[in-house]
Amino acid sequence: MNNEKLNIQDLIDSVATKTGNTKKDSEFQLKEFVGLMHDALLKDGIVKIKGLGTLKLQWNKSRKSVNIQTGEEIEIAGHYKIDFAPENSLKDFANQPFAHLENTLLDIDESQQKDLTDNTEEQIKLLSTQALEIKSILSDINSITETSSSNEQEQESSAEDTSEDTTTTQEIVSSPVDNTTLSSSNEETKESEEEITESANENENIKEDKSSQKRSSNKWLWILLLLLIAIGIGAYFYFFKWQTPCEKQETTAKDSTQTDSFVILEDSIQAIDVDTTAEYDEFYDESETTDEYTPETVTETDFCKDYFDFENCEILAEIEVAEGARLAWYSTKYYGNRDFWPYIYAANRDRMSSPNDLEKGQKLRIPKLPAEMTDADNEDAVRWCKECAE
Amino acid sequence: MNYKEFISDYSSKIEKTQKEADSIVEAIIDSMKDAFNSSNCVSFQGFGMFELKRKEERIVKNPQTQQRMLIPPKQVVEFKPSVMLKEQLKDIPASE
Repeated sequence: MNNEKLNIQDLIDSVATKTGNTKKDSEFQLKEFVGLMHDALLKDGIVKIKGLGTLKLQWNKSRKSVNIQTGEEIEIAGHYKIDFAPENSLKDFANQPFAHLENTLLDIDESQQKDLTDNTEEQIKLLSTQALEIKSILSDINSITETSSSNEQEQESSAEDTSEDTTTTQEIVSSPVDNTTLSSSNEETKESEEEITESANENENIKEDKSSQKRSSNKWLWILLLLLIAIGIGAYFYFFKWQTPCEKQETTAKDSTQTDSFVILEDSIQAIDVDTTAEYDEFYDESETTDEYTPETVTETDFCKDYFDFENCEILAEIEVAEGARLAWYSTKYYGNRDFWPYIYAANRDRMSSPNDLEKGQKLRIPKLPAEMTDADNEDAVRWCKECAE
Repeated sequence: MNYKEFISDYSSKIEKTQKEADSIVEAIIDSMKDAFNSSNCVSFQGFGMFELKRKEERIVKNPQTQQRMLIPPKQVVEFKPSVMLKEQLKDIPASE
């Protein structure tokens, strides 16, 4: 049935049924139809038949070509060829099975570009999610530091309670000390929290800036963030280390009024070691370090006045405060030990309200002290300064 | 020769009216379409063959916009002249 060549004889039947004519007539009509088409085409060069299309003779000019086998140049003579252009109705009829198909654009290049942009968007999204993760980590760290600082506060207060019980001679003096130290330690913790939150804010700002940049800066963002976090943690631990010796000093100093002095010496020496190492390890952050002194200084003059008349003593030197300077530095410079700074503060009570109150260009008196008072080996002197510091 | 001329000539040849001739031509083309429908081709001896051919889908590229286009497959009716007709074409004097 399929792919058969139908000739006139095969068409006769269907034509006869359609026209109602006899098969003989139909055969004649068909033959005449083809014959007329043939004659007309050769005569006029063009035949138009309704429902079928146009048959046309077309002149092909002579052209030069090459014999593929021999490579010889040959000339193809000009000739006629028959061009058949089917009518639209016949075209549509022939293309019925594929009529529903339409030309489709294959915008592969554009789609690839879209993919690329999608990728970059995804990368940015990734960055933002990473930033969120970092944010959560930072907030976790903050919460940890908050809890730990509160713990620290509790420890301090409990330690001071116990020390208060044990002290007999200086009970009246030490109770205000406890209050003030407590309040000041509260301030400290708050400040430290603020610092950490500030650093966290900075981290977030940096994150936002960086996230808009390309992937190449991603590494640097991470490194920077890790560095900042490390610095934050380091600062916090530095703060911690700074606190613990102070506590030790408090308790040991108070115990020393009753107990033997050997233990105290050991403790205090350890404390000094820790203090100095901590100082040299960390950055000289002025605000932080000055904060550290707050608890130690409020009541020191009360002690100092009992032992030595600082206001009317000889003056070793009068100095001008350099930027970022601390009393402990000058103590180290003039007395050879940083623990003797309360002497300087005591001598300058009229000029400064607190040991934090060091301003650049401010004049300070360095009192001339007896050798036994500035002797680092002298247990009493060291102890006295510890007491003052508290 | 257009269709009007063709019908008038045809009607005179088959000794029928133009109207009848027109209906006969229509019937012939219908039966040819039936043949195409059943994937057959129609061959007229000494003239040529009308056949249905499938053109496969292809991709074209617009050289100006560089857009690529998928052309779906389609079927067309083609005419293939017989060898006899080709020989007769050679006898026609060149149009140049």
